[in-house]
Amino acid sequence: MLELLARMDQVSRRTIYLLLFLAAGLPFIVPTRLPLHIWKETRNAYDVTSRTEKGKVVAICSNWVSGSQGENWPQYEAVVAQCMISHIPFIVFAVDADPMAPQMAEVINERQAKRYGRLYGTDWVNLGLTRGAPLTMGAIGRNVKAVFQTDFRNVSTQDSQKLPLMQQVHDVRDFSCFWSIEYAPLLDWVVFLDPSSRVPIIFACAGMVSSGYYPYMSSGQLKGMIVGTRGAAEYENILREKFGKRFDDSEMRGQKLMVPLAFGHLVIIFLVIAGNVGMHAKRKLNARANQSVRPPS
Amino acid sequence: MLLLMLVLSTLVLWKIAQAKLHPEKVYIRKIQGLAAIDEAIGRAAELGKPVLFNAGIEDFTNIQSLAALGVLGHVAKKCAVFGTEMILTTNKPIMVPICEDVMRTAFESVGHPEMMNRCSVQFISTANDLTALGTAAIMKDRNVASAFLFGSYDYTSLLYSEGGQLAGCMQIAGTGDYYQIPFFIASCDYVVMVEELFACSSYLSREPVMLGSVAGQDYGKLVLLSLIAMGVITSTLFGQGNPINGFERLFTF
Amino acid sequence: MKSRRAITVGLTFVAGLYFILDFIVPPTLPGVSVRGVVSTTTPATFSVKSGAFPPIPYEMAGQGALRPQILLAQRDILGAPKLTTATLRQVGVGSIVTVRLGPITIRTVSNGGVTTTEGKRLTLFQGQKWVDGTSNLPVAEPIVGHSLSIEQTGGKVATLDPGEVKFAGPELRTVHLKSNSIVIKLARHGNGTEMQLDDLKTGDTVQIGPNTYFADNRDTAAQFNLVITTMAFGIGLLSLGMYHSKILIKRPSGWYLSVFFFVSVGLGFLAGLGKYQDPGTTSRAFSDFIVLRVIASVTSAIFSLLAFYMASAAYRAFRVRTWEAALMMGSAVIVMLGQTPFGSYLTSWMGERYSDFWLPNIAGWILRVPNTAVFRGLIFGLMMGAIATALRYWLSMERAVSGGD
Repeated sequence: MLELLARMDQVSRRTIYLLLFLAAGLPFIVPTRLPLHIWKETRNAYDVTSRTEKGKVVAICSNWVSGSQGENWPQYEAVVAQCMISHIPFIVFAVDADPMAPQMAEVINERQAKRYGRLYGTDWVNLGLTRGAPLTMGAIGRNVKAVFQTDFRNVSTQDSQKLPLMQQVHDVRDFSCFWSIEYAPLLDWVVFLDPSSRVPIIFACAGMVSSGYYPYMSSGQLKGMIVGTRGAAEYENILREKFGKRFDDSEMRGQKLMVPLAFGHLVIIFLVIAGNVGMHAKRKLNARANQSVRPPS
Repeated sequence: MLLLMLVLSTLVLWKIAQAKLHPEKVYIRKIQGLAAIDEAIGRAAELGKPVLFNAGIEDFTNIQSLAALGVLGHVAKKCAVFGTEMILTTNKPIMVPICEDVMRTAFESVGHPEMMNRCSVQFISTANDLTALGTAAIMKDRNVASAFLFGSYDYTSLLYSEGGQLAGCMQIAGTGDYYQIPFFIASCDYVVMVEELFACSSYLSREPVMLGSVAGQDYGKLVLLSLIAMGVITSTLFGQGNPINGFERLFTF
Repeated sequence: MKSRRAITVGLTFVAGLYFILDFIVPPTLPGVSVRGVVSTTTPATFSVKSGAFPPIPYEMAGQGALRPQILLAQRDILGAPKLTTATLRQVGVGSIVTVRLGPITIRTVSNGGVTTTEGKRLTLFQGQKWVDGTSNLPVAEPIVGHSLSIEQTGGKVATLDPGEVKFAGPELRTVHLKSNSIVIKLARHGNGTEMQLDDLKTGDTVQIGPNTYFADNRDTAAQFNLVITTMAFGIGLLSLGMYHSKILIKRPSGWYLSVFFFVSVGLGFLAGLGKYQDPGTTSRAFSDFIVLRVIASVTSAIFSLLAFYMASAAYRAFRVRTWEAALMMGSAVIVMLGQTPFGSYLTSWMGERYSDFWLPNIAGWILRVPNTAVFRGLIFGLMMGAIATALRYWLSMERAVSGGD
């Protein structure tokens, strides 16, 4: 028995990969739904966004691309869904991101707009990509249209016919809240965007890096946070709870991705325990072997 | 805030000036990861295999990349002395001339300018993950003996370090991105953590002026800690609604 | 070598000094600036002369459409002319400007003049013309019901009076603005904001004084950074192109891989052009296909490698050899379980009364309290290290980089 346990000390890479593949892959074949506890950071993020006053917009810096789409896609989709259902106008842009970032965001915007009947230019504007953070962050706070002279489709942001929404957006004072959605949002936003710290800042980040942002939550510099796929799934649950059937979750990814993620976590926990059991079993075996070869005193 | 910045900067400059006057008084504890740099380069020299350096995923506007350039200078000097080939990979085009310049300066300073012809700075892709995979491929294909991963990292940290693990490299990593440290610890031989990264070039150069700046850092932390202690004490004693707030009890009717 | 180092040291110092001063120096010159509560304001006036016509007077007042917009002629990246909006402070006597009023909707047209839907009567001065409210193209005659603007194109500023502010208080002090004066509305918390004279309201606390120009040039500095970074991309692409061209010419083993470089650059270029098109068009569909189906799939696959790497790294590294390691593993397991639905599934049977002991809540406490404390410690070290390193670089003490030995 001890020999069998000791073998768990050296599980091959292939076995680990296979176990993980099965755990993450099976829930896609056998759909399962699991209950979810909503963390207060997620609820705060929702509440701050929903308090948008008339005449103000939600500003989103969407820097994520396909690399972190497992986590950032459902987060972004949930926030856009909230804005579109509650008729909150929003502007989205990318700073120092991969050139694909605005396009990935736009695909989601267009899908949601089709679902909820919203119009480009009136309900949302995609301003595209700019570079030069952190100085550009401050420049966006001072004058959005000076940084983004044209939108994602090359239309001038001064054009009141095509982009009426942009005529009410001048600087950071026109933002009801600011979202930064990417793998690891830059804390420079807190310092540079609004030096008077009046605009609430919310981060949507990957689960891996979230622990680094908790100090800023407790200091009040961040007003809300969505953590990884879990956060997105929780946000979807809040939308379901608030909007009922008005929220169309048929294509939303958060809840769906949560199940393979949970099983993946279980496999890792199992592997860690197995590795430790194996290590101790091996130690015991070695001790026994040493005892048996020790000459009688 | 400005005042605090001025105080902290003055402390650092004051310690630098002191270190210039009394170089023997400056002491820095041993940093395992940095002490192992010579061992890693020596290993590569013995095996006759190259050394790989990656200066993180950010460009020169990131302070961690600048700290990494300090380490790069030292590693390049050692490689020139041992005659070990050096490969540098980056995902920022703007870092290519900067890294080349740092390496050239280091090679010239130890009298081996010809080393520049044997070493290469490779820009792989602006995408971090592709650069990580490209670097891992180089580690495997070129049989890299030791890898140095210094600077700022994102999720790709594990792609670099596990790539090195699979290629059997001795790896030393250093980053200030605290959330990536667990991944480096899990897959590298030595890890230089957070503030140690900024002490690297001072520690390696052993120049009193540089060491003075590290000592100044510690004094700065003492100032910050005393401010926290004062904050805790005053808000405990005089904070609103605090159960042991004597003043409030005295003046509330 | 020595002169190169001297240049590097000098440039680094000046650039660093600029960025520090940029944050420290107030927007108005201290000592000569005045502060007070606004009682009334007299708007700025200016006149613009076109050719041989007499100068046309304008007043920077009025809300919405009839407030004059000052436009400066500039060129965009491709060299095409374009007009950008400017404030009165950005122009001086002798500047060439275009002034636009509108757009307004015309209700009636009579005797060469028009009446707007708001009931305001307007006539054209010599040198002004009607332009379309949307396209800004010239219109021969004003048409009822249409949205039009009045434009004076390419005139020279003849006179300029920046206006004045009367402060409330027994002295009723009047501050006459100069051409380099700026008006900052002070906020109770945080920084003040620059205001145009006619946007001020009675009761606003303002500071008026000569401009220090640092804040003005902040955006220009940001653009410098932008230009350098963008240029580096071009250089990177050129360098890669040259490298792969050499391979194609010399044809060493594996040369065919360099063909992929040129194919990918070509495809990327085409996809980049298509992304500006409206959804439904072929080029947009092609662009979406390349970005979402090809690049996204490839990079997602790379990212998914992390899950496998992480599992094997965690298996190797999480070994409980000491009690500290046991403590760390215990908290890691709690946080991991707390982040998944299993956390609430395993502990929600305890009921609301003991909800503090639910795994997600314990995990939340670990992240919010002990984790926050640890990270704050790390952040202090990080920031002090960053300050020391920044100082070393600024003062060119980091010899490995600034040259020298």
